[in-house]
Amino acid sequence: MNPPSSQLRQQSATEQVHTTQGETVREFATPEELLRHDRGQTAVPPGIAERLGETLAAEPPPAAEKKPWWKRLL
Amino acid sequence: MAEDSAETVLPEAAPAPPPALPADFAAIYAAHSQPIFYLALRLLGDPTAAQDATHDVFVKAYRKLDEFRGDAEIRTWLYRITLNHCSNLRQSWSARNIHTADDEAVFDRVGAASENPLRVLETKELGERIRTALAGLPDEYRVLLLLVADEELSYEQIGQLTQQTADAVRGKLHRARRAFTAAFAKTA
Repeated sequence: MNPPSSQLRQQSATEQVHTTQGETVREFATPEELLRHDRGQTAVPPGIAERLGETLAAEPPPAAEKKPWWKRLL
Repeated sequence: MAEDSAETVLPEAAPAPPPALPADFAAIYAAHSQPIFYLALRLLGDPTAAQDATHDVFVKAYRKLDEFRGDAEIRTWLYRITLNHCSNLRQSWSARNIHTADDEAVFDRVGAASENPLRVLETKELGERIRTALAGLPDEYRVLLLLVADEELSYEQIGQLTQQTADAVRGKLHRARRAFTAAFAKTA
């Protein structure tokens, strides 16, 4: 998933990128900017969605409202 | 011979594709799975455990979808489930880092000397450095930094998630930044 545009704006405003001898060096002003960058590089493994689909296929639909037993008596 | 029989076995039919997620829930998963997976990954420090946790969080969310009243952002609601789930996992692993007030004083002293911007080489080791740095922080600092890194959350929402005021979040965030910067510098 791509990071939100606001996130990209924030990164471009504070993140500095230098390229020296083929190596890219990035500077981040705060840890959370570093974490945002790291999050942007972290892909969700596709296996989770597949496994989730299999699990939810065996689940009852969530829309059915569950009343507590004492409410059903009233 | 086993090899002979293996040669005569017909190729297996392609496995059936996994069931698709229900449409409404698929949209929720598409919008929020990345930050939830990342939070779980950095809280648990293990990709396999993070995959399991992300799966379990969305199963819980699906089961409780009728209880979601909409009085909170769904992202905040999912984060709450994730934090509780990961906290339970970490407790069951007996993997808690218990830091005393003395430990925090050490973080403050070390952090004071580490005000330089965070410089990183664009390498594959970045994730490992972050994991190591976060692992050395008190749980509270780790959670705060990971939540603040999500710009969709306000300090008020982070305060609700961590059961404190927005002002307390701001105050602790300053110390958390310094502690992380010091811990990250040690990983170089």
